[in-house]
Amino acid sequence: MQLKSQKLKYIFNSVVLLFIIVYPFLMNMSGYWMTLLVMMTIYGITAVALNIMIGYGGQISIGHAGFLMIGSYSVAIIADRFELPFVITLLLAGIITAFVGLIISFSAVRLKGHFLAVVTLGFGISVPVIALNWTSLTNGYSGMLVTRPAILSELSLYYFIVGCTVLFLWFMYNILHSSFGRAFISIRESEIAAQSSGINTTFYKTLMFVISSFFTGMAGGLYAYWIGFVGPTDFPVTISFLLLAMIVVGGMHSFYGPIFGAVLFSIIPHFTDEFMGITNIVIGLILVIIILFRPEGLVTIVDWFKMNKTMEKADTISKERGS
Amino acid sequence: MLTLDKARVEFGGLTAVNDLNMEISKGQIHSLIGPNGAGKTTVFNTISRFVNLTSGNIKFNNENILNYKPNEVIRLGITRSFQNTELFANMTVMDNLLVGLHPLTKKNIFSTMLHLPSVRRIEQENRKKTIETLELLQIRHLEDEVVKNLPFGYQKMVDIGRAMMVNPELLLLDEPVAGMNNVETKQISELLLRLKHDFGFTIFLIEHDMSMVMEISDFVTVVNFGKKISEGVPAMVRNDPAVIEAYLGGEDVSHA
Repeated sequence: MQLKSQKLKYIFNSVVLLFIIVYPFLMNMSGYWMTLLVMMTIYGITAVALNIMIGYGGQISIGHAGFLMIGSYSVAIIADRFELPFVITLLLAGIITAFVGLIISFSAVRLKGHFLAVVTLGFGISVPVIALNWTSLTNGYSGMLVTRPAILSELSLYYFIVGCTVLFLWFMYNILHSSFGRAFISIRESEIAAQSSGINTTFYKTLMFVISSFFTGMAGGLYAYWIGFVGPTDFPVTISFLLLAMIVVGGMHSFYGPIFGAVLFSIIPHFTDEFMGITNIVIGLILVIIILFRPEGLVTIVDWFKMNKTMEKADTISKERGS
Repeated sequence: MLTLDKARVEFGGLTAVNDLNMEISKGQIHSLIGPNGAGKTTVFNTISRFVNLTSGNIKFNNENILNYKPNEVIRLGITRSFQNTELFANMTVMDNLLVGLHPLTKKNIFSTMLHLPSVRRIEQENRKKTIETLELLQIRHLEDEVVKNLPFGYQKMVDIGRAMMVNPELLLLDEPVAGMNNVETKQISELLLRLKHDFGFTIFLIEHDMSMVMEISDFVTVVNFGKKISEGVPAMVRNDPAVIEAYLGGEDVSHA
């Protein structure tokens, strides 16, 4: 049974990957459609990274757009001032963002619940304001142009971003399905039991912040390279709420849930943007419906199908035995 | 092995533990009994460092426990279970026990991220050890069950199992058979005796089931209002008039 489910997961992942590879050709190399998929990958990385803290570790954060912005500005500033290989630039963006995450975590690990929410919200609000006002570094309201690496065409940059996404998701999957992931979950479930099992909760909460901000910073860096521009209005605090909605709608106690959420909420604006202001209403409605009828998120629909299948099988067996 | 020297805990005006002196010897099952509110769990909480002493000292193998944080006590070789099971309710039985192995597991974030063979090997070894513990507890069939879905008796078993994972020198068990039926109680009694004889565990036990305490304990300490009122081998404590008076209001302890 477990082998079969693993095989299905493998087939599903392969089909999705194949689709993403041929996607630019299916869409006639349209920049719009490629951007739509790139945004899905960027939000996918960020939502999974945020879910390390919220879904796995039970540490609320509603300021993750701030980390996205730091990552994107880091790439813009480094690429503008230093002639470093773009992979190094991207890695540095992740490290800088992780360092900021580390600083935030010093106060955040001592807080819980809504106190932590307020601190992270404050961070998410502050970053765009700093980006706007620190003109000597960020160019203020005018934003910064990001030169695409000369060796990369639009198509190869697309594949680079997809490759990075797969790699980053695999890294996070490995962390979450290891003793680190179990330590994170144990803190969410019972800090007392976690401590008595030898888990240094302060250290692991800090680690969650650092890992989460590192990958979010890298996602921000990928965004900067793809769009070719970063400005102080790119990641307002509403993006932090959108990321939170992705996790809730997709399913926060699952690795794949936030990815579903990211895909869904990246597609919705495509259909709703022509109707002024309706996008947020649709997102809000979906959020309410999910919280009311499937609070564990969309990902549990897969479990529901599995359960129905098992029950059908059990029915068939009992009928056969009866006859 | 474990020495409490004039241990005192005050919560505001209330003295929960009152200058308690105790000595737990290696390889014994030592029970701590007393009426509800006598301060037994507070004693456990001070040893596991969740509660600070107001005055006094606690030493384990001549090491001052007070220098350690709650998450560091396990490194000394002390683990505990909880009166109201503190489990990771949404995790499976297997994962709950694997968390118990956390202090012994070598971890490196980079090799974990890359899922290197060394990480896979350690994970396999840990799972093997967990399965052995599950078999010892006779709950192997529950390994993939989510803990919150289990009956209370099994949850208690998981709580004990998690505390056993690091092969502690001293195992603190807070009412391990509370809420269990006679069969389950007997099973736990047998398990504790086996842990003592076959694995050399020292067990410090809080329990209200007197027949179990009298049957398996090597030594019993009785507290009331945080103060020690008696201690000795079960046969002696059972007939101590102070215990009968304070603990049971006149009845024979063995019939409680």
